[in-house]
Amino acid sequence: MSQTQFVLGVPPPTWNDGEEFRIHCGISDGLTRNIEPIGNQFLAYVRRKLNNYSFSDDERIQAEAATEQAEEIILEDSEEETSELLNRDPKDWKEQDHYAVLGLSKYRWKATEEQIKHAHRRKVLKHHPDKKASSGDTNDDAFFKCIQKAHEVLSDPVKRRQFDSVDDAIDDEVPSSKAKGDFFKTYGPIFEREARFSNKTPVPMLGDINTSKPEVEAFYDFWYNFDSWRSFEYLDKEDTDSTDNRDDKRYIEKKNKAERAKRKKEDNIRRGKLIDQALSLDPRILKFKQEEKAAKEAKKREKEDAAKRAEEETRKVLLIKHFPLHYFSSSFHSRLVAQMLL
Amino acid sequence: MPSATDSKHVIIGLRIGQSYSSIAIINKDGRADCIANEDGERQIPTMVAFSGEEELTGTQARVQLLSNAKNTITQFRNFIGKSYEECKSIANAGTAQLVDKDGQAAYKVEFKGETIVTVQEVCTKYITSLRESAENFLGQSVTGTVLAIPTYFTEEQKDSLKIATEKAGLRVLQLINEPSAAALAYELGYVANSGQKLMTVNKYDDRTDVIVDLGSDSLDVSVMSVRSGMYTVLGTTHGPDLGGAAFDELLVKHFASEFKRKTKIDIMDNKRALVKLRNAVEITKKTLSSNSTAPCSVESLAEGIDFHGNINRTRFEIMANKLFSKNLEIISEALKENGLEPQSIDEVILCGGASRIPKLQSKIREMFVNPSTLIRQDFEPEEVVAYGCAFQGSLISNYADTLINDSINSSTTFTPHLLKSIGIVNAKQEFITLIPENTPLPVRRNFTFSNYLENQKEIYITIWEGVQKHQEDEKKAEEEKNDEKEEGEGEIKIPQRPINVPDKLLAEMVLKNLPEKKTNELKIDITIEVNIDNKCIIMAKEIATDKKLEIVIEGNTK
Repeated sequence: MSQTQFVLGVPPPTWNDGEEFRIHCGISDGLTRNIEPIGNQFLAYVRRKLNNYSFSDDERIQAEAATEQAEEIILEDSEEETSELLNRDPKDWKEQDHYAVLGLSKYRWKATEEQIKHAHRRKVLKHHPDKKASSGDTNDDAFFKCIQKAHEVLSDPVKRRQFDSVDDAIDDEVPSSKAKGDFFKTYGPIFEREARFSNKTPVPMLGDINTSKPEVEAFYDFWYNFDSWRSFEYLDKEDTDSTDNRDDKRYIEKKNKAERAKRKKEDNIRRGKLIDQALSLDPRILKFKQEEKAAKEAKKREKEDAAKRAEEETRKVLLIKHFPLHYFSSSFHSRLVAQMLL
Repeated sequence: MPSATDSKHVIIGLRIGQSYSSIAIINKDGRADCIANEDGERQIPTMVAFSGEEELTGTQARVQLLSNAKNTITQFRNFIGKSYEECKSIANAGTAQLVDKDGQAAYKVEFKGETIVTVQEVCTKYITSLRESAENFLGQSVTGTVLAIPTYFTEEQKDSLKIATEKAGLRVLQLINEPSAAALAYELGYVANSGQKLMTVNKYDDRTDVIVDLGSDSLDVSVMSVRSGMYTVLGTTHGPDLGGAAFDELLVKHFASEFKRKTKIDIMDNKRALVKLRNAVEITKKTLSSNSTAPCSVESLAEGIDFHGNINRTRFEIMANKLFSKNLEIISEALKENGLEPQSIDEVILCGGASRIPKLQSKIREMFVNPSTLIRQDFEPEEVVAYGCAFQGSLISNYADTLINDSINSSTTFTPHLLKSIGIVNAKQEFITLIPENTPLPVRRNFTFSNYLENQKEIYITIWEGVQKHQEDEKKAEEEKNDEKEEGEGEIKIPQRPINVPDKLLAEMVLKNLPEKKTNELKIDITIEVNIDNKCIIMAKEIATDKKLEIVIEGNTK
């Protein structure tokens, strides 16, 4: 499209100076047709039509919605950077809390990939060495290295799982079996915390006192057969890359492996203990047991009743056999029989 | 573009064809793609069969077609929601028998005894199998679908198909017309799938499209005007018996006579042999679209005699010449009905498998002589409709049902369209189209104009209604480069494209006391808005000084 076409000239000499405009006639009436209900523009049309917005109304509302969304993203991450965090040495990255470095410590393992990506970008923009140099701050790029390391770990699903497995900020404690308090309030969050290690999803949750028996059974069944991805590579004391010697490598690997297996075993024992304890304290299990007992007793009683009744029946039949019907004609006899039956 | 698996709503696009169907999704890159069924086919035969204790669909039904023809249901799509009386004359002989069930069309099959299944039930079974294929592929349950339907479907047919789909466990978000889906696929999918930008005709993307859908059983030509991304179907012409099957039939005749010449056996009355041959020539036809010769082999065609034949492309083209002309006639008819000529079309979209035939493509190219007319065949023609459905599905996947229903209600979609274009005559006495004809109302557009002369203190704006005229009629004007779509100066010699010329003066306005600037340095913002009562509001504003003038032209109150 050539832009030179969009040019306008001066009014003709016959134009009155005082006049601003002249209207001659209206637009020809058009045909009414159906528009196809497809595409983005149609959705915009519908939005205007159903809400009775004019073009400018709609534009304003859309713009407002857009700014709101933008604000939300900014608000999302305003975690404070403590001086302790800023002065970390990037060399001991193993001890570093990667989530805190990226400002995601309130999300931890719940942080989505998207959040990690955003958080990383934001931190890089803030702490990039170039930026610091230009603002006169001659601080070295230590914290920037920390950020890069945190991103490296958290953006790789394998490394992230390894880190999550040994995340210090989330405790592994199993509460004491004698601890007081509401069972569901104590154990609910613990199971929620442990659920993150499950290979299988969805993980059944503890529920509450009203959860049905099959669900409770399914819950314990699942947890006793828990398939965990938790692993302990992150805690390896020595890195196999630290040596070029093949034998050394093998030796280190073997040692690490044994250590990992040991920790894994301990972890499984820990979880087993937790579930055992929960099972023994679960008020629902107690309730079910009582209900079962009650049901059993009721059944037993019913059985006895049934036996009693059957006995009576036989006695009645015997009676009728020995005293043919006409014996019962008078009220005296019937009373007699009644007494015998009792 | 959100992908099909992003959200918890997994939406697939479905095109149920008369012979083949396809399932499309939006993948992780935001591209539309068709998914293959368990047998690895992206084109899934529209067939349902009952064999012993088993129900077979798609590819598996096709495999056993020969051995179990009377329990195999084919070509059922167009019968949905129709009565037996309407269908009986066009029912496919040789496959499951069409019977009357309470006036509805149904099929009689042998399945755990004699069973009558209605067309709707057949559709439900078929769509269920498509849903399962999609779920197996995605590893996720599919919640909803956008379905493509032919333009000639009646309300009853739409309702019936909707019910059949819902019974198959899929929420129907929307039914859209096949040509519209194809057009949408090019609009939304072109950038996503090819990485290139779709050629836009102008800022507001105004164009006139012709969608040629050469399905298996019919040719449908739709003329559509696209204005600022809004689609209006101007008209559809339906050419029954002109689809891909008609080409197959030519080849069947050809090979049958060849067989007769070789063996003295006439197979034209041998249904079984014809089914075998028809299956074989379909592949021959497809091969001919890419190779210059194609074989056709049928084992034991009749009386235990094998058949091997060959055909070259030229031969086929000569045979099909009549069919080609008929196809082209339908296209020109569609244009004529809407008062359009081939040169005023901006895009021709080809869909349907038979549109792959090279000769037909070149004939269509010849028909639309204007080199600026684009013939679009970048996407797989069999799949493009399903792509469109998938895109539409991704657009509306988060909408509630009631909102979708409100928006596809005719009280929403039925709206006045501009009869004639509205434009401005510039300083060079050229007509500049601001809003072309057939634009749905209400509409608002915005343009920036400039000054023609140096130190121009006043600007004169004239608003006109325009009409289309041929350039030959306008020889005296000799404004060759100014045509309706403003092609740009590089393409001055486009032949005979009708141009818009000023017809009726609507209003004049003058913007005064403007700052003195050099040529082309003044920025004048002109916003034009036409609402559904034909009221036209024009606002001119000089950007630097914020000097403005607004006028309102009331509609003709008849």
